Amino acid sequence: MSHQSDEEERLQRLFDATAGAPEGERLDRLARFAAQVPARHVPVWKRWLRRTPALALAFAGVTVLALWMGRTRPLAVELGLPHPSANVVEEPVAEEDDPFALEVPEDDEFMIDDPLAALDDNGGESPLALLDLLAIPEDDAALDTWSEAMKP
Amino acid sequence: MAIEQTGDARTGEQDLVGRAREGDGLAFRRLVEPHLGVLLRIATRVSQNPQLAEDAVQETLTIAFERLSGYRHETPFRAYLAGIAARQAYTLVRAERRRRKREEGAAHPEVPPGPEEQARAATTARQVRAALLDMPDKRREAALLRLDAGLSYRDIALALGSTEGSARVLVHTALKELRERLAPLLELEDPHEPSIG
Repeated sequence: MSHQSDEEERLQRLFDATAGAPEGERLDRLARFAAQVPARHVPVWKRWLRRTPALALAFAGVTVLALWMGRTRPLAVELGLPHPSANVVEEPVAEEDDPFALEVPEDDEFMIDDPLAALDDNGGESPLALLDLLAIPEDDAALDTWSEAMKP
Repeated sequence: MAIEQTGDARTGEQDLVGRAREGDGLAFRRLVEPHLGVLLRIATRVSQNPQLAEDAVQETLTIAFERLSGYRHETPFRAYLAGIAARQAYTLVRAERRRRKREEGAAHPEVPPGPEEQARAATTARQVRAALLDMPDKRREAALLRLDAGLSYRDIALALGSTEGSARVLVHTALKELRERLAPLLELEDPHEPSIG
């Protein structure tokens, strides 16, 4: 031990005086116990499993089930069982109900043969010219007044 | 009280640790046997009950073996064992207290009554124990490791997993507290010293 101060030495004497001499018999018993400790030692996980047999049983059950399920999948294929998706059957649709199957009559008066030509058929003027109505005239005084008013 | 180990002793100890890790009971016995007295002293100090102290040492040995894979050779084996014993003894004492609280009936005296001198010694030991048990865990462990296990500050630091500086402060605080608590006993212990009022 490193150097002790006087105060510490006094405490040390008090501790020594009240420690009592260990009996040889007890020390022998403890030494014999020590020799058996490695043999008695059980890993923590084993001890844990021993203390909880129900949990161990459940764990074993889940493991067996998982293994069994793993085996049943390829077995089903070997037996030629149908895949679950084979049960999905497409329902037949009547031809008269299928919009893509309808035939267009030759003499349909509402049919537009050439949509682009129809756009030009507006008295010689493009229907896009109607958009000019929305154009703002350059000399719109009211708009100028409003713009001025909105300036910060 | 402290035993400085030589290089050969440390090598032999390392060899025993290796064999004990592999499950050699005899090696483990040889490893711990030189320290059993100290372990029993610590456990008896805290429990003041021979049976409980023996149980605490047995628990210490079991824990020491279980943690042997994590034992580092730079820690002296005595410090390693004493550190576990100081904690384990108090854990058992606490459990025993709880058990006694649960049990209804008269409390058994911890030390059997005997001749006057024996009774006085037992009373002194009880006072020392009471002072120790009132201390915070770390401080109590530091005091036990210093005064009962006779460890150096460095070894106390290794046993407690702290720095040497922290161990020094911890021991200093613990001994100061003990001196204050046990002042009357210390005066009796050394009658030539003038008492400080």
